[in-house]
Parts: sequence; C-alpha cells; structure tokens
Amino acid sequence: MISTLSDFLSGTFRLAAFETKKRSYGSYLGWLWSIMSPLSQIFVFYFAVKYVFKAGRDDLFLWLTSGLAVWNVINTSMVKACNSLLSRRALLQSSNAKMIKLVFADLVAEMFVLAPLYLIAAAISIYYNGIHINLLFVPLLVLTLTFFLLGLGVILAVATPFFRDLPHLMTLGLSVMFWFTPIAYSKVQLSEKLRLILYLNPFTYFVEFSQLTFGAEPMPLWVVVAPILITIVITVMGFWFIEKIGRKMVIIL
Amino acid sequence: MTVTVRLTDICLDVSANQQHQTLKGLFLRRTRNPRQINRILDVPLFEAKKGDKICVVGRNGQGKTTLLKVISKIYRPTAGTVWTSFKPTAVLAAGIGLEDDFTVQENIEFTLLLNNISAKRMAKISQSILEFCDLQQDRKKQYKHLSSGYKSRLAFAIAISNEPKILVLDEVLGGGDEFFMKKASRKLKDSIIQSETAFIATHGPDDFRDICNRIIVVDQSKIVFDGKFDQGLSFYRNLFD
Repeated sequence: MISTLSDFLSGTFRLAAFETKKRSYGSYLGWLWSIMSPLSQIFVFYFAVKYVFKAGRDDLFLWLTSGLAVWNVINTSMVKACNSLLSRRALLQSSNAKMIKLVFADLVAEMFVLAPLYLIAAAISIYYNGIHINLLFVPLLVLTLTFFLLGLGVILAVATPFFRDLPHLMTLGLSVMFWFTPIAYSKVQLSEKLRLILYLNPFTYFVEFSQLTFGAEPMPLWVVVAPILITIVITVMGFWFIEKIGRKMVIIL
Repeated sequence: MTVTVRLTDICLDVSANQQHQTLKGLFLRRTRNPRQINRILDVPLFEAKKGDKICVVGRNGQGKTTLLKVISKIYRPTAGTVWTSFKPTAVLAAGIGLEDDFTVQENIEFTLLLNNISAKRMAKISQSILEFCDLQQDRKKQYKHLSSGYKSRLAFAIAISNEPKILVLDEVLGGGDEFFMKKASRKLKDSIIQSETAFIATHGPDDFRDICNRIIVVDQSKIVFDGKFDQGLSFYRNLFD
C-alpha cells in the first residue's frame, strides 16, 4: 500500500517535471517564463494601487505577492485542468494509463510556480515582521491548496469532454471572480453586504489564508478551518467524479 | 484452469447521432431528433483462462478493437462487469504519447511513467528498449531528429517493453527495415508466449497459428465464434466467402 502510494507520488512528480520541461523546451529562460507573468502582475498592481489610486496598505507588496501567487496558481491550474484529458485523446483511447495521474501531473506542474513566489513572500515577510508565528502555516496552506486544486481540477478535467464550453466559461468566470477576491483591495474597504459576496467566492478563503500566513495580523481560526473544509468537500467530489464518470468519458473524447 | 478475464453481460452503447455541440444543436436535438443509441458491443459471457492465447478476428468496424478496449478497461461498458486477475497491458497503438522535443531517453522514461512502471524497474526496462532498437548511442538525440524507421523501432520497443500477465495487442508492427521487422516479430511472439493470457487482434491470423490456441470471431458487435483456432478460422473464412 505504502509502496504503491510512493510509486504513484514519485511517478506523478516526475511526470509533472516532464510537463514543465516540455513547456519550456527551446526557450532561453525556460521555466522562468512561468513566474514572469505573476511577477509582472504584482508590479503592475503595486504601481496602480499605490501611485494611481493612492490607496493600499503599508505591506502592500507582501499583500499582493501572497494573494496573487495563490490566484495565479488557481487561474492557470483551472484552465490547464479543463484540457488535461481532452488534449490527450489518443493516449486515453489507446492506453489504460491512470487518468488521475495525468491530471495530477498537469496541476503539480502548475503548482511548481508557487515555490519561488512563496520564497519571495517569505523573504519579504521576514524582512518586515521578523520570523512570525503565522509562517508556520505555510505547509498547511500549500497542502490545502494542493488538494483543493487537485479535487477541482479532476472535476473540470472529466466534465470538459461532456461540456466543451467549460474552458471558455472558466476563463470568463475566473476573470470576473478575480475582482470578487480581496487581492487588489482590502475587504475592510467594502460594506458588510459587499463583503458577503466575497465570501460566496470559494477562492477568497485560499487567498485570505495565504495573505494572513505571510502577514503579521492575528490568524482567526475560521481562516484556517474554512479552506480545509472546502478542500475536503471538493477532494471527495473529485475522487467520486473520476471514479464514477472518468472512464465513461473516454469514448466520447 | 484459472480464469484470468471474465466479461459478464457486457453492453456498450453510444449515441448514434453524436454531432458537433452547438447551442442550436442542443435545442434541435431535444425537439427534432430524439436520442438514438447504437450498441457497439454485446457480450453476454466471455471467459479467458490462464494459458489462453486468443486470436481476435473480424472485418473492419465490427468491434474487435472495442472488445479489446473493454477488456483493457479503457472503455467502461454501459452495463455489465469486466473482471481481470491482473491489470491488462494494452498495446493498441505504437508511438502515442511520444514527444518530438524530448530525447530518446526522456521519451522512454516519460512513456514508462505513463504506463505506471515503478522507478525500480525503470532503468532496466529503459536499457533493454535502447538495446532492442539499437539506439544506445543516440539516447540523447531528440526524437524529432530520428529517421522514421528508428521512430517506428522506438515506438514498437516501448509499446512491447513491459512483461505483462495479461497482454492485449492490436497489430502494432509498424515500419522498420526487413531485419528489424523479423526481430520485432520474434519479440512480439515471445511476449505473447510469456504472458499468462494474450489477446491478439489481427487481419493476418495465419501468422499466429503456432502460438494461439483459441480464436474468437467478432461480427456486428458480437462474439459469433469462440473455440479452437483451426475451426474458428474456417468459420470466419466461410462466413464472408
């Protein structure tokens, strides 16, 4: 059992490494291009919030880095997940390779980007706040986010062959949801009613967990518990989905 | 004899009027064309035992590959159950999943990972593939820079590299020079003999006369004959002559 799990995990990580390699083949900067996009986003938002809107917080750069790191991974993972099985039609129709492994490999490849961004966030956090106790939540945050994305990714990957509009809907939905997530602004700037809308967006909980982990504000219990509960529900749904519907989908690919 | 594969009450249905998905089509399908179903596989009961080497024959489009895909658990049937004593190794197409930009070595590792080969066995199998297709010197060459003959060699060698208990084969012998084709044919037969149970879909059943003990004839999505090789072959040929 343990050796099967360890084979599965090591196989998935190696496949993810191949996916990353595949994406950056032949380019000089290679994998670094993957972090260019979130980094440029962080700088653009920093400039706009601080100098154009003349708003923001003292730790704005840290706030944006910790928030956008999570958002960027959510965004790219969801779009990638939609096409994860659809783009492997030939492979799935001629081999009984584990579908879940293919989706996991794609998502883990997207999550590799989180490492350098979180290193930057941790460095800034230590610079501003010293070694704060909130940083102890980093492993839990990464673990929760990983399982949440895997669960949601599996659902999207299996559903897309049935509903081919899903990738378009996801792209559209994510660009709207970005503004319903407290990344470019703080929720204290909003009225009670508007704040409620933010919490209807499940991504808000992960972004907030990330922002507080790297910040120095006290960490309320619900900020930790809410994403864990969402993750459990989504992961169970994801496994159920791939078990029940997964292989049924292959024939219509 | 131990049963290694059992299919019970298998039906596989697909939509007969599967169209490109459009909003217009979504409404028109609901109103004008009621959903029609095509049964592409219908097997009430089928069993294979340890030691069975089964040749699968039938005309194009009659359901041979579908049957093999159901046995391999690539397609999940609409109804019925598929039971196998081990996870079948499906070799239904060679070269799928190979990446142009990867090197020969990377492609081997990548494909073996997809096929759930454990890290422990990876190095050994990888070496045997390189030796089999004479690519030891070119292991760092990008796949796209191989000649088409070597691409076929590599694809075949990877496809057949595993040592499976249940082997499901759909003619995979591709290009390659005369000498390699002979070597590949020998390797293919060795793999069939070494497996506990093998299924070989082919349009040239005579090539497998010496290793197959059983033949099944698939016609119009059903197994219409299941029995001894020579009897089955005459049945098949009489059916369409």
